Amino acid sequence: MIRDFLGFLRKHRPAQVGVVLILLVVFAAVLAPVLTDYGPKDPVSYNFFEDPSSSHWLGLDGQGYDLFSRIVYGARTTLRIALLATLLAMCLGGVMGSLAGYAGRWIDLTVMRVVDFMMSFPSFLLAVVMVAILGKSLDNLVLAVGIVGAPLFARQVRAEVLRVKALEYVESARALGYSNLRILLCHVLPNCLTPLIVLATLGMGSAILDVAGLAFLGLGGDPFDPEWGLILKAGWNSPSKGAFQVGVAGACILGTVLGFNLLGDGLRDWLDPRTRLK
Amino acid sequence: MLIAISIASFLLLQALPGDPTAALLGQQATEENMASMRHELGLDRPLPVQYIDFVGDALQGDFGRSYFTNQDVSTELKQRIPATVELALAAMILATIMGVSLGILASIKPRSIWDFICLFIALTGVSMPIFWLGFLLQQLFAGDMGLVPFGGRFNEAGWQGFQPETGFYIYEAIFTYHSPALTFELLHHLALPAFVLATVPMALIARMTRASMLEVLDQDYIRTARAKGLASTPVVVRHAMRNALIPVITSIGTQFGYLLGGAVLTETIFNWPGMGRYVVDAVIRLDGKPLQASVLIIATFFVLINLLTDISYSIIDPRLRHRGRK
Repeated sequence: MIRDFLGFLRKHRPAQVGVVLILLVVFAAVLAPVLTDYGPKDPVSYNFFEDPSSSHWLGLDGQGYDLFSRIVYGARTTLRIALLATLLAMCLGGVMGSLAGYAGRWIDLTVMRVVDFMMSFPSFLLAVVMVAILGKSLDNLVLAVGIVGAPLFARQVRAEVLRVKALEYVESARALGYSNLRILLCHVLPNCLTPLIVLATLGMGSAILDVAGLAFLGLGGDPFDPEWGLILKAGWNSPSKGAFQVGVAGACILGTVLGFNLLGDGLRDWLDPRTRLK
Repeated sequence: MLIAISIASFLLLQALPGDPTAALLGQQATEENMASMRHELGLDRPLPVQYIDFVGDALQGDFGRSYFTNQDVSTELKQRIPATVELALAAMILATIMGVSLGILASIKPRSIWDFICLFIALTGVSMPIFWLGFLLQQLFAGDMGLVPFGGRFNEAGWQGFQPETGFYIYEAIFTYHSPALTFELLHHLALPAFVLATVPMALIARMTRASMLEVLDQDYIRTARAKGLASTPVVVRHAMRNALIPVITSIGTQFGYLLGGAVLTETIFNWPGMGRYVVDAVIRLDGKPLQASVLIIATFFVLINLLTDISYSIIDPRLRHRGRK
């Protein structure tokens, strides 16, 4: 399957660009301590908004921190938050969707009404309200974005479970006397994963945007944390001097989200037999 | 669904951290003062009774007073809701015109420069942090070029005689004040925030129009129309667009709902005094009443728009109407 996808990737130029962009960000996040000599919260100088130089590749930000180190450590924070939020959304949505799809009847009805209810709020607004309840911090952003993203996964998983559970091999498993939990976990859910991977890849992009947006609104807790939305906000607070800082942080967010969206579209095309035939 | 939304909005006030009486009375408040204030606000009554009162008041347009500013929430909302509706409507009109045009151009000339532009906008539009785009455009068009103002709805110092009764300023400028100069001033302020807010829906509409048109243009009846010698424009306009735009038109309703959420960021950047800015201020101050009222109103709007979108399916698509009659 992986070899099949790599073969498809070789022909799909946009997905290649997506993979390169994601690898760049992952590379920066993993190798942050190697790439820079400065810590993300170590003030370097009082020359705020110093221009880029050989010692500070992107100059200094409004608090006198090395902007390059804040950006590379920011990649780490942003990716971690987005990954955790997407995993949370996937797990929550997965449990809700598989319960609804497999159990059916009143459980299906109840779970799907909860999903409909959650989707009756604009998602970003719901995340803002969740942060108000949970409190302002980066960890709570994970919870807020994860919970808000769950309904989309729930709908997708339910649809997949409904499709798979009607297949003959599931009927055979039932005839063999396997328990419902065993059928669901070992035979139904593993066959529902592929479309979920597409949704999760696209979900990473929207999670990064939501987290950065919430941090930009001042709901991210400590403004000195190296997170791209917070870095952007710090530059935005002094627009005459911080434009470069805003530009760099925004470009990082755009590049990463674009990477995940391109890869997600590529995965969707790979799974769609009509596109593959073309 | 509306009942569930009203329950959630009511419970939101209970879920928010902090004691509203402490916020109202300040740090000098004693236990007795707080208990008396709690009784005065009705917060010591059972939750079901408080909920019934909340719904009764909300139906009469009474959302109480802000714990932080002591302003009447309903009066604030009367100004804020039209500001957001005006912004969202302008953004939707822009997004529809640009998105549909771009999508059609890309589909009738596949692999052309238009197709490339459409795909580029569709991809970057959905990946763009709109607060970043807003900042860049603000710096370029308002700062460097001075073409548009930085923010706000209009220059209050220059238009002191403008005392609108409703919050729909453009409507009032045209139909009550009959002033083209004032209308231009309002549109001048609206242009940039509306464009920024339109970015994401425009990208989605362009992508959807392109995909839908490509599918329709590949159908047998289009080939037949072409084979019969019909010119390209009537084929596209009369035969392809009528069918291809059905899913696009219905998706516009859904996009409009999402604009209400997107307005939270756009209004913050452009200092636009709408619902989004009001929600953010309420969250930062943990001001329960404005937050409760805003959530109730935005979610109700959202549900009603989705309902209208569902109804519009059967009106726009004759096949569904026909199936319904059967």
